[in-house]
Amino acid sequence: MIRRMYADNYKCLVNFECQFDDINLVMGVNGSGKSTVFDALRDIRDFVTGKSPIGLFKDSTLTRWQKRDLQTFELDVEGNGGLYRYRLEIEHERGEDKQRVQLEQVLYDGQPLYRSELGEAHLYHDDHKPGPDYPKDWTQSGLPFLGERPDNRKITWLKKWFKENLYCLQIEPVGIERMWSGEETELARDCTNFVGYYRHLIQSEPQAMISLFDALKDLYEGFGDLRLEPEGANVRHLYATIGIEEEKGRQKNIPLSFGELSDGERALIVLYTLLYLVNEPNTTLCLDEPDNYIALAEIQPWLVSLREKIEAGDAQALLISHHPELIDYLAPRCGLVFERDRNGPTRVRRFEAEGGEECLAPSEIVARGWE
Amino acid sequence: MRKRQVQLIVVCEDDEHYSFACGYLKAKRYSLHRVRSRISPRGCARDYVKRQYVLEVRAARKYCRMNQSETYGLIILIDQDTNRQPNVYVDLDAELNNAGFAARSNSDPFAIFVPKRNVETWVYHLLDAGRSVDEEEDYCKHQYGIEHPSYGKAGQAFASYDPGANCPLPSLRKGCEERQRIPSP
Repeated sequence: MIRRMYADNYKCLVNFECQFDDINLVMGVNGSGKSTVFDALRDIRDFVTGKSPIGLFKDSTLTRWQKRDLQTFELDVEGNGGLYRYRLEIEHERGEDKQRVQLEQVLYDGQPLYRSELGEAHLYHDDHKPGPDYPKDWTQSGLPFLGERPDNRKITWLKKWFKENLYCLQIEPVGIERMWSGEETELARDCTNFVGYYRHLIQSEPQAMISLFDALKDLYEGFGDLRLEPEGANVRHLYATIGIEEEKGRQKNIPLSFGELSDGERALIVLYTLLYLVNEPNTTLCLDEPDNYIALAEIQPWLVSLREKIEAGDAQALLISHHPELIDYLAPRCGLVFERDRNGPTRVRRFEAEGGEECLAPSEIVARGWE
Repeated sequence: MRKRQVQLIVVCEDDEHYSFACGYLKAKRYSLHRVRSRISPRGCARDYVKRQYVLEVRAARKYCRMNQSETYGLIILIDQDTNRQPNVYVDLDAELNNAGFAARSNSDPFAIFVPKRNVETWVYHLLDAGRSVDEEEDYCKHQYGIEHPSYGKAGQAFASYDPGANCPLPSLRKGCEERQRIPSP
């Protein structure tokens, strides 16, 4: 779970620091830097997992009004019985759009596990005694190249967390493909590859998917199940089976292509699938505007389920939203307000409001700019 | 995008009231981006406005105290209806007292507009200031051809209306005094 994030000289984040709880609602006017925090998390994850080289942090990610060439990130991740601190410093050659890793460091409870500086890497064992030193390419993270060994389990845990437990998503149901070739072990940012990911889940988590069907049966009248039908070599087409009453007492099950469902229905299926991710310990689910496309009546039941799962388990949800349902439900206990003064750097503070029937609703306070 | 703080809250009985208020505010060059409305849903509109008044006064006093704001204003629109109804000003003060708050003082930026018999009476007069009107008469919008745009136009006329010595509507004269409570845009 992410407990703290620090970013400097990245878009509108300058000397930015934010503490996170198990569940947080990130609020703020348009352009206040909410999605930028998720962008930074996604970029760090893609870099650390080897998905993207350092070029991911283009010159255009530098803060426009800063002249400094150094970009810094720090992420405190709780898990595996301790607190990790991942630090990344990137030196930019402005104008040339060239970047190099100045420093990449992993600490565990303040003790070193890995440090690379200007092309020289130092590995430490789980007991923090110095391990091998070796030259390192300064355009890439050193972490993807570390194989798992009995004496480096701590750093391997962090690698795995970035790859398998950190999700930064913004569901775009319009773009979700109804069929997909092969399996996807990772969900794309906009969930367009949901069908491929669902195919992966049904193989690896068949029981969880049965629970998903139960949740969807509560949601859609006549819902039967989700089915993947072959459509050419290795391509699968996702169908939702819906029962339709033909005559009184007689029901016929009709397979509806995922593409035939409404945008809201597709978004809801993805949202309820994501609930099963938070069953997985150490998962951090960052969701940008999960309420988009969703009928008002459907938002709170999903939110309540999410909160119950977070509270019962060992996962984390960071949500961005402007929706009154989310604000009224979450802001008083875990709202974070992002703001920028005269388009300057993003600052964050806790949402504070009185409770009680005689007070304005939190969403009304936000709508008035009084938060 | 810059955070925008709402400057004016309008609490009223219906859409017609709100159109009237918007017409007034536009004429006074308030940005409607800084106005927030609380319009009664269908049902007992008078009770709704009374309840909201207490809630808004509580919020406003706290907000103004915390932010030392001199630009905040609250506008209440509520029809007096017939003489059988209790006086609205007295009624609203009593609501505050019952909720444990001090009654409206001269310095509170809370403007209370109480058209008598109702807002159509004001509209009928404001659209033609020479027209003779009576506060006891019901200027039913259908019977007197008061269309929806008329409310906004009447609100605009109200912004520059001078009651003078011959204003036939005491409630409108009182309304003109209430205008002074609304802070400048």
